[in-house]
Amino acid sequence: MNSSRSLFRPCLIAVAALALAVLFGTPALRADTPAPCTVSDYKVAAPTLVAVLCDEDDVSDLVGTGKLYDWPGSLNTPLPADIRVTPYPEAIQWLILELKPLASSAPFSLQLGKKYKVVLALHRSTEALAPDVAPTTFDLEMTNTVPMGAALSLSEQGKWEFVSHLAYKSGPEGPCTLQVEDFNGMTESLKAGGCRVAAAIPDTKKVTSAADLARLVDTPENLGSFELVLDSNKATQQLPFAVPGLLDIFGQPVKIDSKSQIVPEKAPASKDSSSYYVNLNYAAGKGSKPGWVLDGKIAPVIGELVHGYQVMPTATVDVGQNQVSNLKYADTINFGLSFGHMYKPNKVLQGLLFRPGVAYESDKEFDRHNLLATPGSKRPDLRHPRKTTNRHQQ
Amino acid sequence: MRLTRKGAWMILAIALGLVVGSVVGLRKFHSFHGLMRTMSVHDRVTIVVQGWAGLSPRPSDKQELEVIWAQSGLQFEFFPYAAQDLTSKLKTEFRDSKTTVLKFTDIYASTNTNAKIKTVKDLATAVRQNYTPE
Repeated sequence: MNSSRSLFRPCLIAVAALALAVLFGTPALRADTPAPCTVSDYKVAAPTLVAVLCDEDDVSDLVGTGKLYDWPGSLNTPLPADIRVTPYPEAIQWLILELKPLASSAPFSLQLGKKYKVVLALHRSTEALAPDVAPTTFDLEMTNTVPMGAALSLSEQGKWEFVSHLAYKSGPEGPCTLQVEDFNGMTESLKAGGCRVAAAIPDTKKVTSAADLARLVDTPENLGSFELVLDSNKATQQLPFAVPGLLDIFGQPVKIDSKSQIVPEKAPASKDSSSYYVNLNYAAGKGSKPGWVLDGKIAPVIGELVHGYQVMPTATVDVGQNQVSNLKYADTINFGLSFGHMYKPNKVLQGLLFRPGVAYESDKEFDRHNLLATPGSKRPDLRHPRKTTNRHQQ
Repeated sequence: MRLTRKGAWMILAIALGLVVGSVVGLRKFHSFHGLMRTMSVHDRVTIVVQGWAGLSPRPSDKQELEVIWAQSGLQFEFFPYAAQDLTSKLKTEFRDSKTTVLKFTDIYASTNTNAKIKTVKDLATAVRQNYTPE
C-alpha cells in the first residue's frame, strides 16, 4: 500500500509536467498538423522532374516548395536546387516536383546510383503555408535495379511486369527475350512476346514541367513499367538478369533484382476454390475385394461476362465401390448450369440478384434421375438498408 | 398576318422544347464537365469501386474489396455475384481497351483464394496492366 502511494506522487507530477509541456512547451512537443501528402510511390520522369503519389484521396489543390539533401547525410546543407511542387493535371493523387538550380549555381540534375532525401512544404493553393504543418519527406533512390513481378490477373498466365522508380527511355516492343541463368551460372535466353514499355520518355530534355509530362504520358503510374509475356512458363527456378534493349532514362541497361525468380503458380488450396478437382482413392489387397472412391469436380468459367451475365456449368461426381478406409461417398453424379446477375434498380429496391439454374442428378448406375431447377432470386434485407450517406473511412 | 390557333400551339411547343432541351443540356454538360478531364487508370478504378459499393468517400488504396462490399449494406455474396458486377462496371468504364481489363475470377475472396486482387490498389494495378486503349 505504501509503495503504491510512493509511486503515485511522482507519476502525478510527471503527467502534470507533460500536460504543461504540451500546452505551453516547445514547438517540438506541440502536435503538428499532419503532412497533407503521405508519399507512397514516386517516379523519376527526368533528371529534373519527379512525380510523387500521395496516399491521400485528392491532392489536386496542393502546391509548395521543397529542398533536396544527399542521403544518408546531414539535413543542414541542402543541395543547390529548389523544388517547385505542382499538382499533376490528369491524376488527382499525383504531384510533380520540378527541380530548378539555385540562381548563380550550375545546372542541377539527379544522379543515377545516388540516394536523396526530399523535404517538401505543401499547402493548398488557396491558402498560405501554415507554420505548424508537418513537412512531407521521403527517400528518393536513383537505382535502375528493378524487381520482376507476376501480373496480378490469373488469366494473364506468363505475364510479368518490371516496375521501376526510374522511367524507361526505351524498350523492346512486340517480341523480345529475357536472359536468365540457373543455379550453375548457365545463361539462357527465353523468348517472350507482348513486350512493351507503357510510357517511354525518349528525350528527358523535353520533359521539364508537369505540362510537358502530361502531354507525353496519360498518367505517371505508367512510368517505369515494362511488361512481357513468356512464351513458355516452364523456366522455373531460374534467375532473370536482363532484358536486352530495356534502357532507363539515363540510357543505361536496366538490371533485374537478384531476388526476382520465376516461380510457378500455386495449385488451388481446396476443392471449393478449384475449377478442376480429382481425388481418386483405390485400395486393394490379397484376400480382399478392391474398393475405390472418386471425388471430382469440373466447373470452368466459360467465356466472358455478357451484359453482366456469366455462364457457369458444373459437373461433380462423388462415387465409389466397396469400402475404402475413412472415406465415404454420397453416390451422386451432378451436372448443372447456372448464371447470375445482380441488378441495382433504385434506392428503394437497392439490389436484386437473379440466379436461375438447372441441375441433373443421378447416381453411378444412372438409375436415378432428378432434375432440379433453381429459380433463384434474392433481394436485400430492407430492414437494414444500404447506407449511402457519408461514411468515414477507418 | 394573323396567327392561327394551330400556329400558336406549335410556337408554344417549340419554345417549351427549347427550354426543356436547354435545361437538360445544361444539366448534362454540368454533370459531365468533371468527367471531361482525363483521369488516370487508378482514379477511374477508384471511382468505379466507389459507385459499385455505393460509398460516399472514395475508398482508400489499402481497403479490401470484400470488406468494402460487406460495408456497402447489400447482403449478396461477394463472390461471384458482386465480383461479377464490379468486373462488368470496369468493362464498361474501360470499353475502349483492346484486351479484357479483368476477369471476375481474378478477384480474391474467401471462397476464391487463388486470386491475387485483394485491395483497391491491386485492382487498379491489374487494370493498368491489362488496359490497352485503342
